[in-house]
This record gives sequence, C-alpha cells and structure tokens, in this order.
Amino acid sequence: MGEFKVHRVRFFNYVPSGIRCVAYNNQTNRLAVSRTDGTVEIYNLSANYFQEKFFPGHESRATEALCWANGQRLFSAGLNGEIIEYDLQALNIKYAVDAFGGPIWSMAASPNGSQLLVGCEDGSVKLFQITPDKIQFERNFDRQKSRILSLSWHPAGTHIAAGSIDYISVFDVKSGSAIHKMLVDRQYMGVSKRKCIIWGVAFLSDGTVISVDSAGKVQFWDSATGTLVKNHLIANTDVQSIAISDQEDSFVVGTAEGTVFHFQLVSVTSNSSEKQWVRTKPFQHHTHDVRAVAHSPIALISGGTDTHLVIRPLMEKVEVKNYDAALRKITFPHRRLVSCAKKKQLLLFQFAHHLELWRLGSTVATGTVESMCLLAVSPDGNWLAASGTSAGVHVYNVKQLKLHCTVPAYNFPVTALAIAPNTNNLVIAHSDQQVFEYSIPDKQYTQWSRTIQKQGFHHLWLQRDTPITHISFHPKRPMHILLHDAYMFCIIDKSLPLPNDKTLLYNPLPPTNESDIIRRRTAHAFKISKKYKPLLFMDLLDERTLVAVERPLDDIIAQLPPPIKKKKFGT
Amino acid sequence: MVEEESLRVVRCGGSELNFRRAVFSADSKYVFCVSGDFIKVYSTATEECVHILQGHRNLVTGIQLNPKNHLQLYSCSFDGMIKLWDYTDGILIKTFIVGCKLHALFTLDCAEDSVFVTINKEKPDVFQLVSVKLPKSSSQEVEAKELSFVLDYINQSPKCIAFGNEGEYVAAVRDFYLSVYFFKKKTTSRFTLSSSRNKKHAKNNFTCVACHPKEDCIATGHRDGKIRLWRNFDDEKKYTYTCLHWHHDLVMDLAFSVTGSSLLSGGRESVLVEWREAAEKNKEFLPRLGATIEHISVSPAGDLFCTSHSDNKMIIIHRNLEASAVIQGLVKDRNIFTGLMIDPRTKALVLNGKPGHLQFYSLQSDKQLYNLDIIQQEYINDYGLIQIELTKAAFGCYGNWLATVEQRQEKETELELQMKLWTYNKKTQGFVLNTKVNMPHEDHITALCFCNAEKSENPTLVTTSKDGHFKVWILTDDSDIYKKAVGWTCDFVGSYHKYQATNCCFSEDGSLLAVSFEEVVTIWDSETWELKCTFCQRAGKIRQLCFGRLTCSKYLLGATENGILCCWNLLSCALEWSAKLNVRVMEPDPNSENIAAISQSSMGSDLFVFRPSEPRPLYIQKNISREEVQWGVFVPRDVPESFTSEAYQWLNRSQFYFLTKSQSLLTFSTQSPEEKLTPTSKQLLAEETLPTTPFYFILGKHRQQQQDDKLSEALENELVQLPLTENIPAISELLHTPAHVLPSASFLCSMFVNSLLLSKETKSAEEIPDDVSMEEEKESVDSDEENNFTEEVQDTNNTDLGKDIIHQLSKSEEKELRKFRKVDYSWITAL
Repeated sequence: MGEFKVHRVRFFNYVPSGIRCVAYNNQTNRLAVSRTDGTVEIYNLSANYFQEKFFPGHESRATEALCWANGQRLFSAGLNGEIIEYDLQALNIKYAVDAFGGPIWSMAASPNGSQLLVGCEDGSVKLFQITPDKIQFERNFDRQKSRILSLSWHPAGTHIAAGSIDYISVFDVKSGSAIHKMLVDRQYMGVSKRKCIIWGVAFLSDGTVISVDSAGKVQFWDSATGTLVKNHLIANTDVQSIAISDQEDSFVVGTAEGTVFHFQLVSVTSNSSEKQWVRTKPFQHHTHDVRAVAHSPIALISGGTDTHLVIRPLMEKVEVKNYDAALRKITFPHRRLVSCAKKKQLLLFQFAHHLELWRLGSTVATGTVESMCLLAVSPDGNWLAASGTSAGVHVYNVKQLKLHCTVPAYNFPVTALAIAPNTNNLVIAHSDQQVFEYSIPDKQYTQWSRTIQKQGFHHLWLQRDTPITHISFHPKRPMHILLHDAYMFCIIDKSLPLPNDKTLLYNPLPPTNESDIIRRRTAHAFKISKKYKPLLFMDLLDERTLVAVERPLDDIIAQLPPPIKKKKFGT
Repeated sequence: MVEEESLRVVRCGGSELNFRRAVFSADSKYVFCVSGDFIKVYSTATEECVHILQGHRNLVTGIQLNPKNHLQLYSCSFDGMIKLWDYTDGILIKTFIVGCKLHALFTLDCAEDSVFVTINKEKPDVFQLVSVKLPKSSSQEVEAKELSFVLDYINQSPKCIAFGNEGEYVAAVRDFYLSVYFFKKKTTSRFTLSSSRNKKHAKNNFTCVACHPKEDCIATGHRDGKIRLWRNFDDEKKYTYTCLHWHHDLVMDLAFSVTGSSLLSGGRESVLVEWREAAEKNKEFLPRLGATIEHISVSPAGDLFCTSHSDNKMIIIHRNLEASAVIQGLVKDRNIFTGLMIDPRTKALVLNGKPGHLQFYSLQSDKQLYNLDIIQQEYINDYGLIQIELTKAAFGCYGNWLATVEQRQEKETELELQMKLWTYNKKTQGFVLNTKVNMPHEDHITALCFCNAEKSENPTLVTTSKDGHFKVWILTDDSDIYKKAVGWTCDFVGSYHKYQATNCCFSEDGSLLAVSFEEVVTIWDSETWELKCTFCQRAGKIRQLCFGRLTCSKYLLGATENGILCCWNLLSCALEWSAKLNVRVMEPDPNSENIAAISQSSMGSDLFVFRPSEPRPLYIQKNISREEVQWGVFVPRDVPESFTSEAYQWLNRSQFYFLTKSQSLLTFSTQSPEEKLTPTSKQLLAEETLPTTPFYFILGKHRQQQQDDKLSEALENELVQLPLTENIPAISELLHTPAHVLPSASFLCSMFVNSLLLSKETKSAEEIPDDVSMEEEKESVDSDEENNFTEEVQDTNNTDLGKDIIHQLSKSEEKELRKFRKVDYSWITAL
C-alpha cells in the first residue's frame, strides 16, 4: 500500500448556512430545503437521501417560505416580497412575481394544487391561481392587523387558518372573510410576555387547528366554535415549526431549544374509539433553533440554525430493520467543494458566493459565481464523461466532439466520476454506494466491476450514510482507485480479493510486527482509513503526497450564533 | 398472680411502617399499614392508632381492601395465609391457607372470588404472579389451593406490578423490560429498553410501575430518575412512550390520582412531585418531606395521599399537597451513637432519630412523641457527604438538663466538635438551647455523664475525651445587665498520666466520680476534685464502668476489652471479685441493685443479671439474640410487677430493652402475645361519633348517662350533675394521665371547663357524701363488682331526686371504669 506524506488542510473556512424551510413532496418523495442565504437544495429520499439538485442562493432572495404544488412545482417566497418558481429541469429560476404586500412570511399551496396563498407583512392574505406556466393573482382576503406568519389549508380546501401575532384567524376561502379570530394567551409560566407570535398552524380535516407559538405552547382549537380545546406547554422558549403527517395521526414540532417533539393520536383505551393527542418522544438532535420540520410517512425531518438536516425514522413505520431505520444527519453538501491542481499544488475552494485559491502557505482569493455539474476529463484529454441529474452518464470523444457512448442507466444518481489514466476506465460512484468501473474503449463494464457486482459489496460499505464525493487514481499503480466520502478515505486495490460479509471491512492498518502471512490472509481490496473526518476533499498531489481537506464541526459551530442557554442539572 | 411462663425475648414495637404501600379505607377515615406481623389501623384525622390487627405468624407482606365489601381488608403474609379482617371492629373474619410464602397481594374489582399473590417457586429470585381462588365456605379456616398462573419471572416487590383499566391487563416490570399480560386475549407483550443491550452501565432499569385508572397508559419509574408513560402497548410495534424527567435519582414509587388527571412520584429527593395531566412543564412539588419517599398511595375517595418514608414515617397529604398528618414510628435507618436513654419526664426512650435529631419514642404507645433538632442544620441527602453526627447525649437533674455532643470529621486532623446543653422549659414543654461549647475537648469525646445525686445543689457534668482530659462543667450565673441567665462553664480539668480518658461515672450519692483512663480507673472526690485512689487490673482497656446502687453502692464495676468483669470495693479499695465475661453492654437498674450485662460470643449474645455484692448471677438467659446487641436500657415500670419466681424478680421494678445491630428493639416478656395487647387498644372498640380516646370513656359515658337522665328530669338538675371535685378518683386519674396520650387540649377544654362549672351550694352539700362514697368504694373493690354495680344502676333509675343520683352516678361510673380495666378481653382475639 505504501505510506504517504499528508497535507492536512483545515483552512477551508466553509460554513454552511442555517436551514430556514423544508418542504416534503409526497408524490416524488423529494425534500426541498431552503437555507438562510437563499440556497434551495433538493434531496431525493428514495436515493439514499442524496442531494440531487441545487439552486445557489443570493442575499437578496432570503426565503421565508417554501412549498410544493401539484407535486412537481416548487415555489419559494421571501422578505423581498417576491414569489419565485424554480425550474427543476434547467436548475434555474423560472420567474419571480411580486405579491405587493411587503415581505412575505408564509405561503401554502391548496390541497388540490391549483391555488397558492401567501401571507404578507401588511396583514394581507393573497390568493394566487397556479396556471400551467405562471401564477396569477386572484384576490385578497380580509386584511388583518399584523403580519401573517403562518398559513394552513383545510384538507378540503374550504377554509384556511392564518397565524398572526396574538391571534389566529380562520378564513372562508369562498368568501375570503375571517369567520373566527382565536386569541392566544400571552401568559407564559405566569409572566405576561409582550407578544405571542403564532409561528405555525396546522388545519386538520376534522376542523381542529393546531397552533404553535412563541410562549412554548402547542394548542388545539376547534375552528367551528373558535375555542381552545387543549393546551400543551412543552417548552420555555418559542415553538417555531409544526408539520403534520398525511394520515393526521401524528405531528412534529420544533422548538428554539433544539428539541423536536413528536405528538401522536392514540386511543384512550384499547376498546374505545375515543382518541387523544399525546406528546410522546422528544428528540434532541439540534443545538440551535429548529426553524423547520417536515413529516414524511416514515421519518421526521428537521432543520435549523445549526445547519444540520436531521432525518429521524419512525421505528414503528419502518418495515424491515435496514438502512432506512438509522438516524441521519446531513451537514455537508453531497458534492465536491474543493478541486486540486496537482502540478501547481493549488487548492480551489468553492463557497456559496466566491471561490478561494490557495497555495500552501499563501492565498489568492478570486470571486466568481459558478454553478456545478458532474464532469470528468480523461488525463490524456481524449474523453469527457458527463452526468446529468437523472439520466445516465454520457461519454464524449473530445477530439471528435461527438457522443462516444452512454453508460447503461442506473436508478440512483451519480455522486462522483473519474476517468483513469492509461486504461481510460470510467469509475462511477452512485448514491446507493455502488461503484462501477466502465471501460470507455470497450464500451462495457470491466471484468472487475462485473465481479464485484456479482459478489456484492460488503454490508458495512453499503450502510455508510454519506456519498462518495471524489475519485482519483494513483499515477504509478494502475490497480488502485482512491475515493472518499465525508467520514472515510478508501484505496481499492483491484488485485486483492474482494471482502465478503464475514470479513472485517474496517480493519485497522496492519501493525508492522504482525507476520506477513496473517497480513496477506486478512488483506482485501478495500483499504479504509477513518483518520480524517469530516473529510471534504482528499487527493494525491504526487506519488507520495496526499492532500486532505477537513472541516471540523466544532469550527462550524463556533461560527454560529450562540444557542439558547439552558440550565443543565448539576452544573 | 401472674402465671410464670418462660421468659421470652419479644419484639416490642418499633417495627417498620414503611414496608409496603399504605392502604386507605373507602371513606379515607383510616389508613392501614403493615407493621411486622401486625396490621395497624390509623385514623387519618388524629394520627392515632385505632386498631392493631394481629393474627399472622410471620411478616405481613400485603394488604388490600376487599373490593366487594370495603369495610373488610385482605392481608397476606410470609406464613402462607390470606386473612380477611373487619377493620372497624378489629376482628378476624376468615383465614385462607395457601401454604407457600406470599410476597404481595393484589385485588381486583372484576375478579370474582379470587385475589392475586406473588409467590416464589424453586429458584430464590424467580417470582410468579398467580391468582388464588378463595373458596366460599362458612368455616373460619379454609384451604385455598387453587392457584392459576398469570405471569412468570417478575419482581418480588409489589411496586413492580400494577393492574390497569379495571383489570383488563396487568403490567409487570423487572430489570430492563416491561411485560403486559392481557387477561381477555391471554397474551403477553414485552417491551425491552433498547439501551439495556447497548450500554453496560445503563441506568434505566425499571423500578416501579403504575397504571392509569381510566386510560390505557402505563407509567414506569426508572433508576436514572426518568418516568416513562407508555401508550398503545397492545401493539408490540406501534407502542410509544414519553418521558418525564425531574428526579435526579431513582424513582421510588409512582401513583396515579383516582381520576388519573395527575401522576405522583417520589424518590430520594424527599420531594413529592405531582405531574398534572402528565405534562412535563405542569408539575407541582411538596418538598422537604424529611426522608426518602418509599411508597405513595392514594385514597379511593381521592382526597388524600399517603407517603411512606425511609425514616419509618407516613405522611397523610391532602389533595392540594398540604401535609395534614404525620404518623411516625421509631426512626431506624441510622446508626445509633447515643445509645438508649430514658427521658426522666416522659419515660420515653431517647435515641438518635432523623439525621441530627434526638427522637423521643413512647414504648407504651409504639409511637414517636417528638423530635428534638440538635444540630439545627439543613440535612443534605447526598452520597459521600460527611455529615455532622450526633454522637453523645445524656439527661441530668431529673430531665431538666440535656447534654449533647456532635462531631464531624472530614480529615484526620480536622475534627469539629460541639457540645450543647439544653434546659427544659416548662412553659413550652420542650428543651431550649442554653449553652453551646465549641471544641470542648481537643479530641473525640468518649463519655459524658451528669451528677444525678439528690443532694447536689449545683448541676454538674463530666466529659471525658481521647485527648487525655476529663472536664467538669458546672452551671454558673451568666446574668448581665439585660437579663438574668445561667450558663455552663468548665470548672475543673483532670488527667492521669496522659492516658486517654474513656469512661466516667458518678456514684449514686454524687460524692465520687470514677473516670477510667485506658486500663486504669481513677476515683475522684466530687467536692474537691482530688484524686482519691486508682484501680488497675492490667486486664485491658476499660470499656464499661458503673457504680453499684442502693445497698451495693460501695462497689464499682468495670468491664474490660479483654473480657474481664471486675468489681472493686470502694471501702477497702480492693478487688472484690472478677469474672471472665466479654461484656458488650452493662446497664444498672435505677430501681434496684441489679446490673444487666450482655456478653458477646460467636454463638450470639447472652444476658447476665447480677448484683455487685455477689459474683454469682441472679439470672442467665443464653442466646437472646443471634446478632450483636449494641445497646440496652432499664425502663422503670409504672406499676411494679410481682413475679414470685426468683429468676424473674429482677424484672419486677423495671423492664429491660435492648437494641441489636440490625436495630430491632427487643425486650423480655413472660406473657403470650395475645395478653400483651395494650389496654387502650381494647377500650377503643366503641363505635361512637366521638373520636374514641380514653378520655371519652370517662366523659363520654357520663354524657350518655346524662342524656338518659334528661328524659326523666328537669333541666336544672343537669347543672348539679357535674360535681367534679379533686377527690373524685376518676377525674384525678384522668388528670394524672400522661399528656402525650390525651387528645388535643382544645378538644378537651370545653368539657373540662364545663365540669368545673359548679354552683357553690351544690358543692357544699356534696362534700360529706363524697367521702362516704369513697369509703364504700374501697370496700367494694374487692367484693363482687358486677352485682354491686347493677344494683346501683337500678337505684339510679328508680330515684327521682337529683342530688342522690349525683353521688351514685359518679360512683357507678367509676366502677364501670374499673371494670373496664379489669375485664379480660382476650376472647376478642379468639374470634
């Protein structure tokens, strides 16, 4: 295997932005996430939670609301007062419409997907008609006194609930008039706070409105009578988000203390039909405010200021104990943010709005904005491999400028690809952790790739939860493939036997005093090092030198605003 | 008079009240608790013990109300019997013989004729929950052998089993799992806490369980202080739970209120927590309950809660979380440093109680009278904290003075010592701190004693210490311009060759002080503090030292660590006799010459009673206890017994109590347990609207009589019917009853004042006949009372003249009273 000199780089000052909104799309099983810098990311929950699409943000487009309509169309609205629709094919902004109500705080698409509702700073609720290629303003609802912070449609589409400051309004969609105004108690643990902000509302089909507010309450209202039914005081701080499941048998709320509470509708006794909402499990996976939550059929999804996207599966909904049953925390983007110029020994860091070029010991900063696409050029310059967001990988002949071949389509998106020098083998990593080797000259998978597909990867390899973001090759050892994800670095030696499920995958580097026979017997193709993490980039500079770019989580947390201070018992 | 049976060692009260959850009667008037082999019935309003249900032959392990008749109580015991009691009359109704050790008892409303018990089969740690069918039969003793198995491998403690939703399911917890058995479906669901598999030192073991009375919700307590509320547990996949976390140490017990709207929990924090609507943020506290909460129970009426504490106490708590009554037994969960003492005023047993307190415990009523806070600091209940310990205490001058010593030693060199002297305040009827002495000695105080001689005009206290000195403290005038006061000061410091002073003792007349310095005993004149003579036997360090009393006051006894008991003659200053005896406890009887010594051997503890004048013991009882006896004390009897047998004569004037290492308080008795019933518990059988107290028996009956008379007589006669003067024995006896057994003064006041409201002419008219009646009475005591009494009652009914009735009434009343004292009630226990 050999030893390497390692450049351990920790000066990549990358800080992801906090998550502001999440929107779950049930039809395509996709999750849209918007961040405070206006970035919108789309995760494919079916493909191992891979971040497949990405819209770079802009400071002027800070999103406050995000919603899917008709299953295909994604809208966002923000404090600049514009409603934006995204083109999910071209990965750009389709159009922006000004709602003329000041900053937009909330947005909701009607259950049938034909209408879009926005709540504005001036207290107006505006209804838009969604036409096939645009949105059309339809009318205003009764104007309220203060900003509309949250909106929710009744599943039948006849009523809406709008959370404002100190009260919740219930509107009749047909007439556009407020039929109820439900005042929320400002009292908090006996102390009267100045204002009670309704951060979120949810309208259930039986007419119940659930509200979460800045006094730490989760309240159940009867929208027919406009009365409070039940009150759960769950936090000392704001409850900032709520998401309800499609079956309306469970919902999730997120608090400013970083706790996510799960509520479930359970029957009072086993032999009666009476049911009640019960707070069940609290989850503390965040350190900061949980600004947004979503409820997929099998998982609770939460994101907040601490920039993590946490996907917590519901154990009772998971059929088999597989990879879906594990908790995941997505912190880093599933793409390569670092490139390396080997001969010049330069590192290029990609930030949200600028690039940084570093030479060891000195820095050069240049500022351009660049959108990313998965491309790989063969070292001899003959071949170019390109991967779109959904289709397979196309290989072009650069000399002749025409399509050479297409790698057979695979269900899961490509996370990284590279072409090996000399052999011109294309190595492709997919989001389900499969790795293929495709021979461009032969237009078919190589023998090694077929062997490993036949035998299957080690189960621990398949259970890793971050995608491979970079593949490279050793210039002198053609049998070696170097690849890494956020938590490990691996050298695949194609000459050694493949591991089966019984062998130890994560063997520590063989100790020197061990005899060669044992070492040879236990050796297998995957040499894995977990020494560097979280690893953003790793590549060979030359034969004996590696460069590793790490971004310790503590450094990111240190740059975040301080979390709400909580008294810890015994301190 | 008393048939002498063999002298037996018996337990005398002080048994645990906190062994199991207390049970309330349906009307919340009574609370029941198991107490050793008995069940005690307490009134929730007056804290008074109303009945003691006796009949089990081993530890009672469970009590439950009979669900079909809430005036009856089931109990089960290690003796393998289930007994059904009528608790209002204290009568045993039925006995069901199961035949194996029963560890816990549960009853269900819906279970027809069967109860649930926990039994132990084969392996010592494997317990089963079985249902026992109670056969219908008219006979007193029935065999109940029809057991049907419900759940296996459960925890022995009844806190780990709970029945829910009117008996649809039973939940049991053990180690890391919760099992729920559904009676209708006959299925068991089992839920294991995940971390138990992953973490080696996981602390989320289940400790207790409770079921919601209305909903399908199970609350479980855990070792890490969390409470989990389980729902949907009929589905092993869809079950869900929520956590409530306030306790920092294990949750000792849980209970739902009757409606299920709130959950109560308690633990070592000594705080009762009420979780309203099972919400984490909505909780109420009742703090400072004094000791670890071991059990919580809720009255069926819902108005009261009861917590049992580790210091042998039960607190009745009102629904609004206000403690309304405290039932305190002998505090037993601490080391006893002070030994056993008798308070000369109340005749109560005095020893270490709650941390930092002295407890005054009435041996007669098996009840703690009060706690005296000596250390006067908040007790912080935490592991590893070195606490201030109350190490020594002594009463002096007929209970007018109390001396206490407290110490705290964190490191070898850092000793904190404090001696406090307390004076008895007659106004407040309690001890008040008079003098506080910081560091009275340089090192540990080994002994302290007061000079209790009658003639001594000045109270004197002697302390001995490991620093080689003994100090004499006397009471001096401490007045200043603001107030008159007295205080204690050191009068004399004595030492002997830098030996450690280990024991001290005053002679009965107070003229001599004996102080032992390791192996040497020194005798000092208490007038001049001159060293009179020394005794040294070179037989090891002196462990106990005491003077003989009465006719034997010329002898001094010393017991050494090498197992030699020496007796010196103070007149000849020579060793009178010595014996080889490894004495642990040596106690002189204050009322006789007898001295009791308890020796320790590998076989057990033996008792020797002897007089210093002769080396031959009067009485030997071998093997009084298998474990080490730590302390003993003679308690003077109120009424001397008259044992004729020579061997038991030493028990005539005083009773001997001793305390073993496991803190069982034992004594000697010749009576069978049935006869040992205290007379008060017998008298209280009457059913009246009035609270039944001894006082009631004197005045209550009287009033009844009055009412009868009212029918036949004019109202003005009523006034003269209360000729209560000092020389009516009934009232004088009443007034001499110790204050602590009487009901509260406010209750008695109106009655008592009424009785004193007398018109002058009636009083003068009565004086002569009163004397006559006294004489008559004395004669009639020995005659056949029964006939005499009925005759007189007839007389009163026939006569119309009020004044004549008066005397006869008071007389008959008194006879009735005497009758009550003499009548043998042992037939009740035979029922």
